[in-house]
Amino acid sequence: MTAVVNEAAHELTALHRGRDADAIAAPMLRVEGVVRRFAGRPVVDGVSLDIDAGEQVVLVGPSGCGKSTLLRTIAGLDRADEGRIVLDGRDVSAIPAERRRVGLVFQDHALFGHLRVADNIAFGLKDLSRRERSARVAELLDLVQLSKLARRYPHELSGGEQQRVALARALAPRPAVVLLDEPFASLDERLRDELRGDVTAVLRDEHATALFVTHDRTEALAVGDRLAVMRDGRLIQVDRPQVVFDHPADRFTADFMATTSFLPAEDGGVYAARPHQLAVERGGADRVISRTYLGGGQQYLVRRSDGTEVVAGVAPDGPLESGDPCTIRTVATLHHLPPERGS
Amino acid sequence: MVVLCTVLAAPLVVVLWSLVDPAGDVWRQMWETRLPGMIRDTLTLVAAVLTGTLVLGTGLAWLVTAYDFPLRRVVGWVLVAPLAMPGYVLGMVWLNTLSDPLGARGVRSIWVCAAVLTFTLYPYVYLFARAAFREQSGHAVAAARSLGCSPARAFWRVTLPTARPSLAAGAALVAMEVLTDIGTVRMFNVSTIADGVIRVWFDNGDRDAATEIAVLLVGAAVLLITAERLLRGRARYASTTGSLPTPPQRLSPLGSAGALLAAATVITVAIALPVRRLVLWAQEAERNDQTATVAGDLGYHLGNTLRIAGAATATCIVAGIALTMVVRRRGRPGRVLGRLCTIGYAVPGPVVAIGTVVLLTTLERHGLLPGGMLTVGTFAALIYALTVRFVAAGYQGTDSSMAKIPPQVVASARTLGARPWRVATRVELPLARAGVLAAAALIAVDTVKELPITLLLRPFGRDTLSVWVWQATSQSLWSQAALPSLAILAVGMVPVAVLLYALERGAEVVS
Repeated sequence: MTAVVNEAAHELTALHRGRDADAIAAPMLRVEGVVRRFAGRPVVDGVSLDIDAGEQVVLVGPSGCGKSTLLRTIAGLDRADEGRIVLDGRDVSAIPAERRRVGLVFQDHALFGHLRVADNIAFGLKDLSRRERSARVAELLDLVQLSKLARRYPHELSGGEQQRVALARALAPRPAVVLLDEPFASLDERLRDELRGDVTAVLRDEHATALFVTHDRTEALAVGDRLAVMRDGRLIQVDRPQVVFDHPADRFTADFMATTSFLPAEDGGVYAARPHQLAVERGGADRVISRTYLGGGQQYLVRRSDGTEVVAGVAPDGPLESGDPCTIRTVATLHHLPPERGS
Repeated sequence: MVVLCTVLAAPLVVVLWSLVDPAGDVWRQMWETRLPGMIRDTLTLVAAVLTGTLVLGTGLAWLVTAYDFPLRRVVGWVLVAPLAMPGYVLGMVWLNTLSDPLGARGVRSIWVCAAVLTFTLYPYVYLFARAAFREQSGHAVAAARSLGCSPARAFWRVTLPTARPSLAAGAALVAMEVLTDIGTVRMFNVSTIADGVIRVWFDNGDRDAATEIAVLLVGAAVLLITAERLLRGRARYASTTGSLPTPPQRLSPLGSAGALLAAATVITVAIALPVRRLVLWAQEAERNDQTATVAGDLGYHLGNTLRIAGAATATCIVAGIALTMVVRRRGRPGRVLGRLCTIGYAVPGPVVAIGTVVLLTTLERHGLLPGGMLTVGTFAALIYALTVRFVAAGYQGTDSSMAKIPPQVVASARTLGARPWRVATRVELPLARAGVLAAAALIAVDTVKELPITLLLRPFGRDTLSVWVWQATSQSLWSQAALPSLAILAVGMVPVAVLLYALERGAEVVS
């Protein structure tokens, strides 16, 4: 069973790689063995990552995993202790931020409070003639649908509008790559979903190469072409969102992307099971601990006879109550994870 | 509330009232003689000192926030110290030190005077600028860098414009101090409007004319506040929630040496050299047995200064807290009223002094003052005038730090059954204490240095250290002014230290 699953995963990855191999151009952004230490401790610990022109990649990981530091290093706001950053074929490792052609969008928008919306967007367009500049500003205002608010000051805008100004400002000078640091974190959930779609569309229209940083796994799955999972300063897995979700590289990634139960495997490794892959049947040696209603269905926390706890989302025998004896059965092919060092 | 406001605003209303019945001949005579020169000198001096303090204060603030070098924290504190140095003391020292190279006439110029005031007043701009630079979103600078700005360009195009409201507030305070100054300008023969008020009052004994000139000062102050509001404009800070300021950039050994040298130069000019000179003079006075005035010795003057500064600070803080409490519970109309009765901060000392004298003598003539309590020349009358002048600092210090208390905190206290009084004393004030402390420190250091109000209203036999310095310097008896000057400096250092402590504890500088 495991072999089949792994083969499928490899096939998918190979398909994706194939696209890379066909591309004639070198990657737009190449991060090569970047290490950044603070007080001797590596915060970014040997990260390598290639992003193609026009590609959108999401860097996801728990708070403090080093993703923002990596972003600052790419932008040139922080210097790497080791490794190289190559942007559009040019080694920019020693080049200051202002000459790297990197766009930045922050969670707090970081708009210039003393400048009107149009002037914020025009800020980075200093090499253009007056007419070219206003044409480009108008184009971007139109793109982010803020033409009517061009004369406003940032504090007179809503959070979502500010975010779109920040995006337009970063895109205006046509940067080689746009870096977005938790761009939606300060917005409320509904607005976030809406804006996420808008921003992705705008980036596509501009053929922009983008690297998002987020700690929100739902967002990570929704946004990018590829997803890079980061933990303790290292990249654990870089692949299409669906591959990362269905075939996580390790237990951490599996659990980080969605609720995961781990069932022991014969080789000392584990099978990673999502709730929808586990059914709970009435009667047996296992026991229901609690039941949670999730809107779409029920989820059961079950203590198995061997003492482990699992979460199951399928209940063919109808609802069970806490304390009921039960049995756990797998209803899908599970993803196998080989034994991990140190676990 | 209304009573408190009336009491605090009355002296100013009185001064403005004199406009209703202007003495035409006085005006005409003034215009034909001294007034144009006074206005010109005032404007030149204000412009020069504003330029100086903005460059010096902003530059130093930028140095200690954007760069990292050995002793950075200590330098950051020490640069505030000149706040305790009165302009008339620094002026006295440099007048003497520079009279050799520049000549006795050359040194008495408006430019030397402006330089002296710059070195005593830059800490206001420095404090505001430092706070503004510290709280600015590092992300804005990062964004500017990624849009093609070098660090220096990012400073000019983003950091500085964003700090503009704070710089305007600091500059307004400086301008107000320059308008109010009488000790320093007199020393350098710069005849400003404030100086004119004092001269006409004392030398000509013409109180009506003095009051009328004082109106000009009110006009200048109003102009200043309007200018400040206009400078703030529509542009405001964008939201900067959750972003960290840019970490300071480590300077090379050479750069560090340069930074330390710059700071050391400022401190040498503003504190170190003057103190050395004052000590020498004080020793000379000691040898000549001139360590006291006819009124009393050092202890006597020191005691009076401490009593007056202490009482004025306490009154300002209590009145400020009372105002804050009432205003915060009255909503918008209360806020307007609050602004009105703290207008005193915008009114120069001599005006407040004259207003108080005119008000109290008028009231007394009509027998409206109970038992001679507030008669001119009493301790109470002096404290009253000082409160009118400085209550705004108490009010704004309390108000701004209370405004930062999340409304949910107050709501929680209320739902837990606390009455307004209990909410105020158990929740709001304790949370605002750093702000209140900072305000008290600023008021204390100002009242210790304060000259015009104290000079005009001091009770008989209550000469302070600043009055001693004034009397000695107006007769050019420098060595006799040294001892009280050193005492003012020493006393002033205490509130400056308290201010630094409060700022470290999260207090804000306000104007």
